[in-house]
Amino acid sequence: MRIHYNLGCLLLFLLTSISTFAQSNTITGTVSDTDGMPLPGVNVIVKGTNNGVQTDFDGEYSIKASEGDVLVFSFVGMITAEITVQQATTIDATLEQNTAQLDEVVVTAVGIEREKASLGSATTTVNAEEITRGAQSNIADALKGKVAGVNISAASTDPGASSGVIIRGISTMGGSNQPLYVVDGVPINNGSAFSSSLGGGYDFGRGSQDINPDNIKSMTILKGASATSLYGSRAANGVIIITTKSGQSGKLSVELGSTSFFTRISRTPNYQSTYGQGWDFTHRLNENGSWGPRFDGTPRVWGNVVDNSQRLKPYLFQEDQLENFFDTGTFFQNNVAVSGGNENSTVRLSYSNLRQDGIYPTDADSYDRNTIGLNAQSKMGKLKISGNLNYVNTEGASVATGQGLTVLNNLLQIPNDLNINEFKDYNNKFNNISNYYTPYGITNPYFTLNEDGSAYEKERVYGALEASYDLTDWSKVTYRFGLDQYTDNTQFWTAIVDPEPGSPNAGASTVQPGSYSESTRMVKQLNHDILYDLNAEVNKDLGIQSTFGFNYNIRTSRSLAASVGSQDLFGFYSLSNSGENPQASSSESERRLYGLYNNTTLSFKDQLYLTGNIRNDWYSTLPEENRSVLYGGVNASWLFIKTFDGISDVLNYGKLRAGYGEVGVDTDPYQINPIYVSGSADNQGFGSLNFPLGGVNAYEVGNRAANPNLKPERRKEFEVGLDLEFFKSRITLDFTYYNARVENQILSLPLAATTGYTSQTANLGEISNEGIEALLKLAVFRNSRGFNWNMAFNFATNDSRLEELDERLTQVSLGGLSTTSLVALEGMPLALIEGSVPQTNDEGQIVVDSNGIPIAASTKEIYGDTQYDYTLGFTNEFSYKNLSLNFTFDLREGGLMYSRTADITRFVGNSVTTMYNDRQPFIVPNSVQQSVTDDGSITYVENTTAISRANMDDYYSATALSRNTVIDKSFLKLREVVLSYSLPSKLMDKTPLDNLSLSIIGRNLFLWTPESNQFIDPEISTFGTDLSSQFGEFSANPSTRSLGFSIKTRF
Amino acid sequence: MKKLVNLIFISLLALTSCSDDLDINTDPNTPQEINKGLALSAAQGSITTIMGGEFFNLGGMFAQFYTQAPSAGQYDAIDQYNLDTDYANRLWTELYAGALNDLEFVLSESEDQGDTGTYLIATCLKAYTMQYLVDVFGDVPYNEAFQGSSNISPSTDEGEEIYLDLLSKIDKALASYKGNNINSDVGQQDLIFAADMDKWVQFANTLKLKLYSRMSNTDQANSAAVTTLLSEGNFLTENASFTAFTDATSKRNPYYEVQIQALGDVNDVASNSLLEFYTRNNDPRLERVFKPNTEGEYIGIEQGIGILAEPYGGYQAQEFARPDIQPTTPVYLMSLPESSFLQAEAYARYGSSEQAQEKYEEGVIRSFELYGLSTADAMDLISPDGAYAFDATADLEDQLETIINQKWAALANVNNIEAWIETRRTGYPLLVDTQDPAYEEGRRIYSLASVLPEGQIPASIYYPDNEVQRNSNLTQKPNLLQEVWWNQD
Repeated sequence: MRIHYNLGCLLLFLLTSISTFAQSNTITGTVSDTDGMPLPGVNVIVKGTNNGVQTDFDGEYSIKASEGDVLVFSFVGMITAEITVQQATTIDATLEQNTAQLDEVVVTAVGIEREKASLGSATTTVNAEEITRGAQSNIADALKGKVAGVNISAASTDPGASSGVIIRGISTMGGSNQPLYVVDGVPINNGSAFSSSLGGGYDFGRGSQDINPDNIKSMTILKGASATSLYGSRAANGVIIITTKSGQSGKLSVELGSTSFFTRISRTPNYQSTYGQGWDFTHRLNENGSWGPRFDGTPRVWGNVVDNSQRLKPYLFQEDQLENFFDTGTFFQNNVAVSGGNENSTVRLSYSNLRQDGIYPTDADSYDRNTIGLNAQSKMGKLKISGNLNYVNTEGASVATGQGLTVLNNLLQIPNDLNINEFKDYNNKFNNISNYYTPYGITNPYFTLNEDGSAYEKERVYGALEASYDLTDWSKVTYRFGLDQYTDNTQFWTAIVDPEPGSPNAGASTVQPGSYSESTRMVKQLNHDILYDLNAEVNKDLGIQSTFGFNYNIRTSRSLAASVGSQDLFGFYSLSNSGENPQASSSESERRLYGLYNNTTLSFKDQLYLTGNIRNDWYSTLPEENRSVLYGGVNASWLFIKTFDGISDVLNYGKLRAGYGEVGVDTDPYQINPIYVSGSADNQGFGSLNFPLGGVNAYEVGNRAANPNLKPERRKEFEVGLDLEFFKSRITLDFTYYNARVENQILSLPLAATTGYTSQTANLGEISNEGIEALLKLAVFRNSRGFNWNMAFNFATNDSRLEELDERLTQVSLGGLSTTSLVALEGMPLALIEGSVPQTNDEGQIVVDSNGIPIAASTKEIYGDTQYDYTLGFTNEFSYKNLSLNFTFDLREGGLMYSRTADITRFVGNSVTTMYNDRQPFIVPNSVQQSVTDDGSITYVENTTAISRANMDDYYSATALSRNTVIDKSFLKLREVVLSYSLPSKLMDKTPLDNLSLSIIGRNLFLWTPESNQFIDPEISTFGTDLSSQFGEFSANPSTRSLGFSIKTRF
Repeated sequence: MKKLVNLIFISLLALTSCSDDLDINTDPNTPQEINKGLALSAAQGSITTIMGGEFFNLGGMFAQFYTQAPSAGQYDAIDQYNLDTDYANRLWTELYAGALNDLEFVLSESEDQGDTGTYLIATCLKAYTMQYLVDVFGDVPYNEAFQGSSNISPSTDEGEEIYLDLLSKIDKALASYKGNNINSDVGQQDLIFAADMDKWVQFANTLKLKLYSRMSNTDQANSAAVTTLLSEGNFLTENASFTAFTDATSKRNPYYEVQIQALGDVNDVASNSLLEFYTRNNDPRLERVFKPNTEGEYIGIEQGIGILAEPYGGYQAQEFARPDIQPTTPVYLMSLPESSFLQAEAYARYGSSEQAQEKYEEGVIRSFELYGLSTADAMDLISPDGAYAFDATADLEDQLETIINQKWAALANVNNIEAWIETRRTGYPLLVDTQDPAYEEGRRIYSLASVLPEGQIPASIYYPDNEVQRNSNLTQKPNLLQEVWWNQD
């Protein structure tokens, strides 16, 4: 808008300077707003002439006009005023705020453009400036805190890691809860490349982060089913519609942008500083824990004796032990875009490059992205052709998360008195894998960091081609083709860990034969849409806009993977570097969808709107009888501000909206028919026995039973909302209440193994989501020339519940671990964490064992749910002339999560939470011991056994006390701080540049968490970014804070 | 409007012509049909993985061959007699939904094809597997099992009825094989006996003898049936073992693959209960069942003591002897020594002491052979003045103790779960308190880490949580002290 306005000013300025007519009078005056604030830059024109001027900084103007002329005062965002010149030579004008939003046009489903006023469902549009302000490289992160009812969670702050978007809560327990991303009318793939493997998880991001945020003109988020039903099943979780920038006609323009960030570790677990290395209260030099004696500062030897020598250090706590391991990460992003064209054809070409290196020393965690985008359109009479083509290349490397020999797992177990930097030279005789201080399942983290690794590479091409033809001036036909294709390749390797025979670590559990694996995927989506649009006014009051469409969508994927469980040569990683034959596997998948749909909006007197959607889909993934699914939605909006003129003094915008919609949701391919699978047996949960064996192959009856009666899921959603603006938009409120139900949840029904099967894909229950979204904006100070202060509160609650569950199921397992897990229970919030609790007797007393440590009860209990009670985003924006400061707090309250970081740091005695009673012996309060009477029955006697110092570690790792590894995930974060300065246009006029702006940006600068969280940033997860991520983290890499600056210019 | 109608019409046309286009929901990644040979191999792989993996480890600790090492803690719960209700999830699933469901397929295919040979093989393997499920868990689903989604909550059957039905099924399969002598055509896909039907008939007979011996202290004891079996004498002439392992990921002996390769050989160390039995008797099997510590010594620890803080806190597994299992060590389903000891017990009960002695001595010799030892050493030990001499004049109970003690010592690293089951059935080797004056090294003891009330040891294990949650007709047992049918008073 501002650009447009500036051009207008310039033009008028030129015009006024050349056309000076001889007029009888010089009229002067001041133009102000209704608050009396002077308005600079108002255009003042003598109606019907080219004679015009602009008001100055004080809102004053001077123009020559004759009596009887009409002066036209116009200003962006204000209602144009006309005043006839009388005899007086002073004419002051007051301009009223224009409710410009009344005419705002929004791109809605399948590329249909509708006036915002006509939308009967909650729709939020975020413009380019807001998207790029924080210089995020990932569009999901760029939306964080900006849209009510949208929960955006980054799996981690690792370079290139994925961010998930969940709109209005969890709607499916079986499938994806991610919204559909539509770029210029074409759906794109948002699949993720991650593994939540407990022994080496990684996250190489989601498809949506291949979009360069600098190319986006606007993003519109459709939340409710009444709006999204037109997109069909894939939009059941909401839709994010992205409109990319197209070329601007006129002179060739070049945009340049550069952003740099520097990143540091932000949160590490709090360590106790009283007790050092050892176990059982004994100072043992090979222990991976801090269960030793109290620090005394005396010099003590540490580590193994090597060549008859041993190292010496004072027995003291090491401050900032973990912080010292990590270094500063970097992030550099550069963009360039060139655009130009004439009135019929425009073109825009953009390139961006992103290079990121995370906080781990070395470049073991890195992410590089290059994007090239071409966008062109041309108009030839009634025919309009447009297209865009994007090429994206990403490369990444990540440091594995989880247990075993992962770097963080090694780090977290180092006793709190050892200086981690001492291990840096991992080939040093004391530090090498043979003599590293401990044999207990971990090794030198620097060894793992440098020798193990991963590599990811993706080549992606996506784009759209569109041709539309105006049949009449009220109807057109459009064909749109979309292509999205990528190939990615993932490699992992672990080094041989083979201590020298006879060395302290020979034969330890850390011994590994090395491994190498590689997999390649090819994923393709083709999308065809044929649309017929009509837009007509039946009479003065009644208008009709209608779109008929046909959609054909094909999604295919193919993958090839191979791995080998040992390596021969150290330092070289390959499938062939092994005495074993690699294991190879391949798979392919294809699904198709036909859809036929109509969207019609009726408008009455431009104040009442009624929109109806109807769609029939045919899915390849469902049984033939259930394949065809008809659904739709209807919503209405009433722009009551136009109906009741009288209220406009207080209220300058008012809209009431309501909608109801249904969406059918299919499932993944190949879920219906029985299958036979390659012979393989589960070996104790740590391995498997796989055929072929001894030259004999095997196939077995698959464990998934057939289901020829599978039906689609059905989302039914009602919403009602109110959009209000008070006092010339000084107060803006956007409020929505919604209530959604998703019936026929397609889930894997776990079958008792005695049926011969372990699961069946079936329709099993109903989920509800009920919540409110409220966005309140306040313009505390508003002065177009001076100081401005805007505040925004973005509040949302959502209650996801499993309303009904098939009676064959008592609960649904949603992931987690075998000990502590994520489950759903009928009538309860989604999802719950369940785990072990102490066994109690009938009086509720805790039963302890002979060491005084609580015994776990045989049944687990629910600890609580994982949902936030509410989320609140709080943004402040201060600006003074060209300087602005913007900061956003993010508050999320409630919910539980599992933390393996808590678990392991408690197990090894590093955590500050292991300091109960200063580790002096204590008796578990209200505890009993069990004993057996002569007749064999069990009786309980009061427990008098205090937990000894030697058994203290067993207390903190007792299964019965697993609740302590589950923490409150509430937090308050200073999410983003942006300080920007745009060089004033006066200054810019003297340069070839059109504008230049500089920003300093801080992210995640502060984090407050409740007392129970002494461990981590509760936003991180190693279980992806969908429902299962709600469980928590399993030794996730630490989160970061970053500070950066950004510079943008255009010429 | 006309154009609009046309457009819809064209779209509809496109749709109808494309309805076949949607028939693409058959998984291209898996075969649409398989045959009985492929499923038989898979079933044998599943049984082998449990017998040689999870059951091997559990049995090894419960039979007191191994115990949890200090400085590690993967199997604390086993030595503490404190198994979780989710402990058996994997093995239960692998046996029911893996092995047994595949065997159902093999049974149905071979019945349709009139292949009495393969039918007998599958019947034997099913009976073998069900027998272990009963012996480890007690009453389990049987008659109502394997019906897929048409019965998702199969009721349990009493162990007694399952046993009787298994015997009758084996007899039926034997009869139909003998009546219509079709040799199985699965060939090398039978990874136990390569479809040698004589061997499978022997397997069937030995398995029947085993089932009868379990029943010997119950109302169902059947001396007539046992006597008939003994008089036919057609028992195993070759170990029933799975040998198709190679030293590569997911192709190794299951115990080796997980305990030694994946978990690093840090959990299971030699229990003094077995180790000192061998050393006390100068039995060379010591050096076959266990490998020495890093100093080359055979040192074990008392059952369960590794979990306690004293006296081994900080000791590592390598400082003790550990189970000597190699990547390609076979997994024995039934072994020749086991067969001999079964016969010895049967003769002791229902035949002459001399016959019992003969089979007993044969058992010891076959055990030495199985471990690759010289039989001369065995001969010395079983000679009248040897440590393992059989007293044919002793009463039945003493003879049984001699036989079962030797059977226990012969099952180490061979069939650990069988050893544990037999200790429960017979009470041998005797279970004594370490504080008891009668205690001598090499007896079984109550694990020193036990959380159970004094004087008690597990008599079965919990049904797995997964089954209890999904099967509404199965009720969890209150504790680990519930005895299986053949052990009840």
